[in-house]
Amino acid sequence: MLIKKIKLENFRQFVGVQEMEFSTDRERNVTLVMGNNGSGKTTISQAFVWCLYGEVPEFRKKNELLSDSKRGEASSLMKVSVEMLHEGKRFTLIRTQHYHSGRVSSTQVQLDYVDNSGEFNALWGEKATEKMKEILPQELSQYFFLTGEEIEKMSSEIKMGQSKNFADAVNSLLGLDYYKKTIKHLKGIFKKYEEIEIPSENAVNLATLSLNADETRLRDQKTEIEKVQKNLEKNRQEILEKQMQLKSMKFSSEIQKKRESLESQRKEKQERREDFLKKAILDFAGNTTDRGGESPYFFARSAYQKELRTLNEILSIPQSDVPEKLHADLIDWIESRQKCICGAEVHEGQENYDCLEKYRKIIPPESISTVTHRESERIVSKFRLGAKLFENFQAIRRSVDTLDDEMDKLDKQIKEQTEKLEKMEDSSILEKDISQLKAWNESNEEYLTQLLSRRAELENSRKAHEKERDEALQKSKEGQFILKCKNVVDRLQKDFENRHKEAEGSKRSELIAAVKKAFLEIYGDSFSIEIDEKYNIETNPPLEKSTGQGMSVIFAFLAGLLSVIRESQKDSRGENELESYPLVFDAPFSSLDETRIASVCKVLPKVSSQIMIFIKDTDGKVAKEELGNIIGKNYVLKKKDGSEEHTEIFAEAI
Amino acid sequence: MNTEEFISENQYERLFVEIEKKEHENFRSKKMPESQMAEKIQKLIEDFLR
Repeated sequence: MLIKKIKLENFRQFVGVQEMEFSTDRERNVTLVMGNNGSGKTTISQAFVWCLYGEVPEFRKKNELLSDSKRGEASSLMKVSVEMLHEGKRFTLIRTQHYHSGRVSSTQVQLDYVDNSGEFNALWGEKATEKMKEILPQELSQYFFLTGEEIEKMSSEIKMGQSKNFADAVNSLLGLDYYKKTIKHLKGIFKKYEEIEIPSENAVNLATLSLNADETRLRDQKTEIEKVQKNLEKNRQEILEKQMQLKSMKFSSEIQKKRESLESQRKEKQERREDFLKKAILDFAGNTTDRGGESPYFFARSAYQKELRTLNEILSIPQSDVPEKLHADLIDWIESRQKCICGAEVHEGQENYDCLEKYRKIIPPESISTVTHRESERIVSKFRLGAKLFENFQAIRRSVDTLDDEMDKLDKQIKEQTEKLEKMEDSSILEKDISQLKAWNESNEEYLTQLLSRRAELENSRKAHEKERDEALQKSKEGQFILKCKNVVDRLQKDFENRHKEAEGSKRSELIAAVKKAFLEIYGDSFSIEIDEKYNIETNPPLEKSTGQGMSVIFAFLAGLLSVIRESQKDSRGENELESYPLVFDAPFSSLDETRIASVCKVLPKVSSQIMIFIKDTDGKVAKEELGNIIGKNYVLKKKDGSEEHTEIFAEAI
Repeated sequence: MNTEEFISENQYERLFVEIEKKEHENFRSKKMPESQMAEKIQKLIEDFLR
């Protein structure tokens, strides 16, 4: 990057629009800007920084940069534009700040450029700022815009061994920063991996154990649930059966009625049977007032038969055998005296006795024939009565037999109905059983609900443990991968650190050689210089604080540094594409004596493509003499009418 | 732990060169912000190791 031009408008003491063009000539690469103290040399340096990066460390308040004469105006603006050449293209950065009654109302930044195809482009705001940082990063700018105070500070740091800035500068300018950034990235990546919790194998095992325990519990639970469900089903079935039985209880009353009807029938038949038997008895024996019913005739039949035979015999007795006049009274008399008139003994059972009795039947008072016929008729009548009794008995017997058969049948039917009824249990027992079964089932259902709920919990637990196990497994796999990455990143980090160290060591050696060369050109061989790993610079003999020796070391260092940068670019870009850097020095020689100024002036133009030196008039004269024909542009800053608030830029002839 | 357990020496060298190349390119072009670049490098390493 080279700076072509700066244009200032109302920037501090540069009131109105003023501009300064810088030499970009490779042979005459020095622009010398001279001016007395307070003429605005430092202000121009500040204008560069404000335009490029939007801030000036020395001025924190935004309205401090506006020209004093413009602060009272109702509306005013401050503008600085810097024209640059970078990578073969021309860029113009314009930063404008608007003021309203002396207060900042808005700030605009714009970067115009013509791209490789020749087209005009413009970026605004953040995009313009970002692009500018690409062209010249702000953190590096401090090494290109150097004030006398900064050079003194750096010199002091060198002497105090605090040269971290140099180390950083070397890394940045020599392009070694990307190693640092790579290492930073790798450290960040390593830290990220470290923050990832990697589960141990134990975590996987624990999660698996928990999962297995859940599965075992679930299996047990399933068995228990099946058992309870089976019991429930069995009980439900039993309840249904019992309920069916209960329903059939209604049917039992019908059986009962039927049985009662049968029993009633039987009773009636029994009664009829008894009636028959009573009749038979009556027929046989008669009632108590009776003379004995007809049974005697029945039982007397054989006697009647015998009597009939006897009568028949009597009727067959010839009448001539009976003694005349014989009377029954005589027979009674003989039988009572048990002696016949003839004196013969007459006793019952004796033949003569029987003979008398035989005669009795045929002698008066009874006529034997009448008596015999009447008797015969009576006997026949009785005989007939006996025959009727038998017939009646037979009829009764048949009826009784029929009744007995019917009663047997009824008994059989009654027995069947009784058996049926006996088979049917008592409904109260059934109801009790049903109630008990229902109670069990309610209890079982409650238990089943608990089991199902528990099973759901276990299912959830199992799922959670499964997820945990899977995650642990996954994490374990990822963990292994992370361990692998960590290991490789760790090695990469170490190897990049080594590579950086090597590259830095190599560049440092080049830098030391270049600085020594520049130092030799400034100081001759009266001093030797050494630079350690931390860029601590020591001279032998030691530098004197009061002199400009320290500052000379800085110039030597910068000269050496830019020399090494150019050499580095040669390696990567080739001679024609070397990037240039401007060196803007503000009052660099204030601590140097004329001899040193002369020495530095010899060295500086060689180490940078563009040198801008803001210098006070007295030093400027020496520098102008020393720099001679390499000055491309020369300006003088003058206070207008001796005013501290208004400076004008005047171009001097070369 | 030895890196060779996870990646051959040739692969490692290739990875190293690749990272160096990408970091250098980005440093010069400044196209990618730092955080994005770190993520890119992390992805590159993980892709190499998968």
